[in-house]
Parts: sequence; C-alpha cells; structure tokens
Amino acid sequence: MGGWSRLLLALVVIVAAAGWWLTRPVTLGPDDLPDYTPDAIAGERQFWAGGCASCHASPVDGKRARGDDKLLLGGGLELDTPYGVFRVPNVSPHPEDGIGGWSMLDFVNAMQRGVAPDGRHYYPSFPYTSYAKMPVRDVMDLKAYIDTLPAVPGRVDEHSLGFPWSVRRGLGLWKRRYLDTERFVEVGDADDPVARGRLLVEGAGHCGECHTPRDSFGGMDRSRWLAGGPDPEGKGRVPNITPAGKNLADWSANDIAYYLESGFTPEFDTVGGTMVAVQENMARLDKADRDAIAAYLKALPAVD
Amino acid sequence: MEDVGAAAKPVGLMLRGEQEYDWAVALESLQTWREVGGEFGKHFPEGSESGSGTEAAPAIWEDRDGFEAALTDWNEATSSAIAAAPATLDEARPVLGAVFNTCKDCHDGYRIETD
Repeated sequence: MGGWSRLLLALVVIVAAAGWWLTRPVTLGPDDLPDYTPDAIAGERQFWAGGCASCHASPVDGKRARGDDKLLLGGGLELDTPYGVFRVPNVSPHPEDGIGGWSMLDFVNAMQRGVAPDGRHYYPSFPYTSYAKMPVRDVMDLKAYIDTLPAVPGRVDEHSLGFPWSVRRGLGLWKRRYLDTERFVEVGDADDPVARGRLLVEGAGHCGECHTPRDSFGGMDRSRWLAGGPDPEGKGRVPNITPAGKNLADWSANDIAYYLESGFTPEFDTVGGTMVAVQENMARLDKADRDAIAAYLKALPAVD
Repeated sequence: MEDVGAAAKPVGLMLRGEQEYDWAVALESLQTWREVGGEFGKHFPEGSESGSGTEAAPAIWEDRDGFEAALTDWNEATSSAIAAAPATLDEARPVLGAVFNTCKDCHDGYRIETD
C-alpha cells in the first residue's frame, strides 16, 4: 500500500468516525431523573395536553378513535407525508408489543431525547422536540398514567420511507440542529397564566408542530413561531394563531378558551379537520389550563 | 352555506348565556337548517373536488356514504329539536347542543381548515 492510499484510508476512517460520532444518540442517564414518585392522576392531565391518543389510539373501522377507545394505545394510524408513510407504534402498557417493559429512564429518553430503548433515533413525526420542553416530573407522571391503561396486543409495521429519510442514524445530525433540550424554569412562575400556558403550548401541547411552518430540513422555523403555514398532511392551511392571525385577531382570551372547551368560534362556526381531536383533548383539561393557553397566545408577538 | 353558519350565532349566544333564551329565535335558525339541510349534499357534486379556496375535504367524495350519513344526522337532530320546542334554556341545552354536535362531527372529517 502506497503512502497516498494509506492517507486516503486514514481520511475515510476519520470522516466515518466523525459522522458516527456526530449522529450518535444522546441520552439522559439515571442520575438525570429526580428522586420523585410519579403521580398517575397528574399524568392524566399530561396525557390529554400531550394529545397522545390523537396518534397512538388505534383507529376504529378506519376512523379515529372516540370516547373510551382513545385509551387503547395500540397504534396503527398511518401518516402519509412527503417523506413516506409513518406508522404510529403501540405505546400501550403491553409488555412485549407496547411499552410495558420500559423503565422510567427509557420513557423519558424517548419523550425528551427522541431515542428508543435500543438506542435508535425516533423520527420527529413523534414530537419529542416539543416534549423535550416538559418538566421531567410531568413526563414521569405521564408514564405512571399510561401504565394504568389497558395493554393492547399487536405490533405495528415499520415506517416506509424513501431514501435518504430511511437512514435513521442521520437523524442524529437533524437533532443537533433542531432538538433544543433547554427546559423552562420549573418553579417560581407556575402561577402566572402566561408561564403556565407557555409550558402547555410549547411543551406537552406541541402546538408549534403544526402551527409553526417548517424549513427545508423539516425543522420548525422559530422566526415564524405559531404563524401558520401549509398543512403538512396535504390540503389546506394551518391557521396563524399569533395575534396577527386572521382568525384570532378579534378573539378575546375568553373566546379562545371557550373554543378550546366547546369547539365553537365566537361566530359559532365549529372547529374542523385535525383540530377537532385536539380540541376534544383540550376540553378534558381544567378551565385554568385553557385560560392559560389563551393568555399565552394573546401575549405572543404578532407575526403576519 | 353562509346562511347555515349565520343561523348558528343567535343559538350559540343563547347556549353560552350571552343572549336571553327565546324559542322563536332558535326556531328561525332551525328552520333555516331544515330548509337548507335536505339539499346540502347537492353543493358538492362529482367533479367539484378542486374548487378554488374550497374547504371541502376530499373525503366528501372518497367517502360519500359517510358524508351523507353525517348530513342525515344533522337533519334528524334539527327535526327533533323543532319537534321538542323547548320552552326554557335548560330544556333547550341538550336538544340544541345535539344539533351543534352534528355540525362539528361533519367538520371533523369532511372539512379542511384554511387560514
């Protein structure tokens, strides 16, 4: 082997190693979990705020689950996107087919670092970039609640994605750019409705995942936070929900809270499309939570 | 279709307690819905799927039976409310609420959101 070949080989090895290192899964360790006994009742609030059922509840006769069927988290919904078809997994407490065998740390790493127990990256169709903003205790409460739900048997097939999206490892690079793990201040301002609303909207509620437009790499364009954009699932547009939005400009905070509770606009038009499931989830929260979301939305900078 | 939406406001304000309950006002809205409701499906003929600025979801044509069933639910709820002729707000809440829920049920799968 000549000197040049050896140099080239060394370069290839260095680049490959750097790529491997840059795309590696970054996870939390046992010491990152607080000494805390999770509360399943508090977790139910996170479950509805987080909209878990909207994706993970198994469809019934091809339609979205309603009522108590929302508690059967067997997965199976298919999300048809420009990247390919994402198949929503079983997250019921079933020990083999769901997440019944997961430790608390496994669950927190999935929710807040987008990493599976076997170390694989999750695709951001699972909105961990938002869930990363939740206080870790809220995430622990959520697991305690999910553990009380029925175990649903059955595994869901893998996603069918086109190249290069099919290369899961590459998500490590995507996360370096888009996964901001800095959490909000957990205590001190929790009584302030805007702060409470911020946690719900930016964290569990993951409103920005649809209401904030995405850039060319599929990350949220934070300069246009909640300013709406094309519907990622196809036809139509997702409304701008900043105070500059055509819909919300004339709504009072009470109007927003009433809409989230009842599904009716101030003109008594109804919620429609994929927002119906979201609104039904919001209706299960306390009034103070809906009021907090409204206060936060009214406090946002207006983006045209 | 604008008439359908406009008729909702007075009923909604009464249900929300922001306007005094008046059966005559509610009846007027219900009659508008009964008139328009029976013919509503005709607003969405085959071939009109891609009208500009439409809020009509492709599901209207892909799942016509489901769409028609949702319209039937609405018409039946409207007729039941008219027949019930509730005298007080407390009596009106469940029957008028049932009509409103059929609005939402149909917009759930058969309308897309626009800005």
